[in-house]
Amino acid sequence: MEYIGYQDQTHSSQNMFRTILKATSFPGSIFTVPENLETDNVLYSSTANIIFTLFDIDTKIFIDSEKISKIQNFITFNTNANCIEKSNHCDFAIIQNKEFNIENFNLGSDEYPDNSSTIIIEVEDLINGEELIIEGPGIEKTKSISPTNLPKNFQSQWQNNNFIFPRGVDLILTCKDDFFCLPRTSKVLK
Amino acid sequence: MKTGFNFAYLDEATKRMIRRKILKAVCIPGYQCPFGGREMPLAYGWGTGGIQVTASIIGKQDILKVIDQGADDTTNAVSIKNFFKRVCNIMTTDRTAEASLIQTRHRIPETTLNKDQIIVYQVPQPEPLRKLEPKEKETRKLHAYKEYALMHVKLYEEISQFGSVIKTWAYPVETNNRYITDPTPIPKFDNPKMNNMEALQLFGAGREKRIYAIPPYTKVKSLDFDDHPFEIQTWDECCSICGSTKSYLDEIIINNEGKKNFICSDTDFCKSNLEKNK
Repeated sequence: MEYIGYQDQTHSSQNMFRTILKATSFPGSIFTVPENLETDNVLYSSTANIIFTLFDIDTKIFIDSEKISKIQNFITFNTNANCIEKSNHCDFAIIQNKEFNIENFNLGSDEYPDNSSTIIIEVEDLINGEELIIEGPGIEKTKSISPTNLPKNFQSQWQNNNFIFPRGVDLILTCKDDFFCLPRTSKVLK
Repeated sequence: MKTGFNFAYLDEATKRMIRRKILKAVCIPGYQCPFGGREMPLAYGWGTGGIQVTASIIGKQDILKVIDQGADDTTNAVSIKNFFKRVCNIMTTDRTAEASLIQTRHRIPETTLNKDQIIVYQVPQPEPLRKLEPKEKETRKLHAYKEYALMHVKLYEEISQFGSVIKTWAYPVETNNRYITDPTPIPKFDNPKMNNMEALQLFGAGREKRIYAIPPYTKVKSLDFDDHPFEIQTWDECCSICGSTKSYLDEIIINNEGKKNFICSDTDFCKSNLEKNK
């Protein structure tokens, strides 16, 4: 598995960043990462790509997983980012467990809503779960998403996240080489 | 390409910091994200914010277009284009439709942008409320509580004094029904183009160290009143080069007697329009 980030850090991370930027601009649209990263089943390739692109010594990371020590090693070895134990202080969170509560993360303040967590959720499947219809900036009319493995009360959690706008968290859902984004502006209609 | 510094001039750690801020800016449309602005090899006021945003997103495959007041061949546009050619070795173009990345000073191209393009605005003053409230701490609170009465009173006063809103550039907009946003000093003629634009709009302010964004398909409304609806500029004349009646026209004095001519501000639009009509 040995990595120290990308081989071609400059261009690979630029390419991946543009993919994330596009995914954030068009919520719910599924994108494939430009490079496959093998991590011995510790993380998905898409999650690893996001880690290599956005994490560094200035970011605080919270991990919720059974493989926490392996993930921690992977992150600190490759990016030097700080893994922390308090979820409400983190810049990024990596979640592999099915149950989580958005309210436990950093929601930012009214003055500085950008000072909030981005949650990366690894799910088993991005297209075969329960269908949700979303709308908001970046979506022309409506968009259908159907990820699996979200908490049972996800809809009410997300409604609350919409309600406290501009505060709130932003989600990135990953599966293997694919991912999509769900920024706080996306509203779930159904 | 010059060697001795990193691709796109900025170091990787700076790019990552700006990239994280850009993502948050896209997630909160119209909100001004503070970022650690770096010193650039040109003076504040020449597009240092726009250049830092462009440098953080540009890649080898990008085709860059830079305009200054609509024109591809003015000092600011040419020097920024040369800068990126030197530090990235990328292709540049004058054609709006060919560009994947457009950096602009104070105009939006007449050609409709598509969803694979990104437009980066150079921003002198990101805070639309700054002239009404000089303290940053206060304007932050006004935005936080969506307390925009000041701005509406200002527009109302212009109407009561002059009969209409006299602001013709940097005309304030409301983004996604939430933040009042400075559209940068574009003419109000361009404001309607921002509404539901297919391209991602990014804004970089170097001196003020702020980044903000408007995602594609986002509602952008120019502020107005029911009995005084927002209107864009119109001209009785047409472009004296291509004959267009639809584009934004610049007035130029052409002789000592003060004779005036009107020409398209968007040079690429003017050229293609001329070719089409031939």
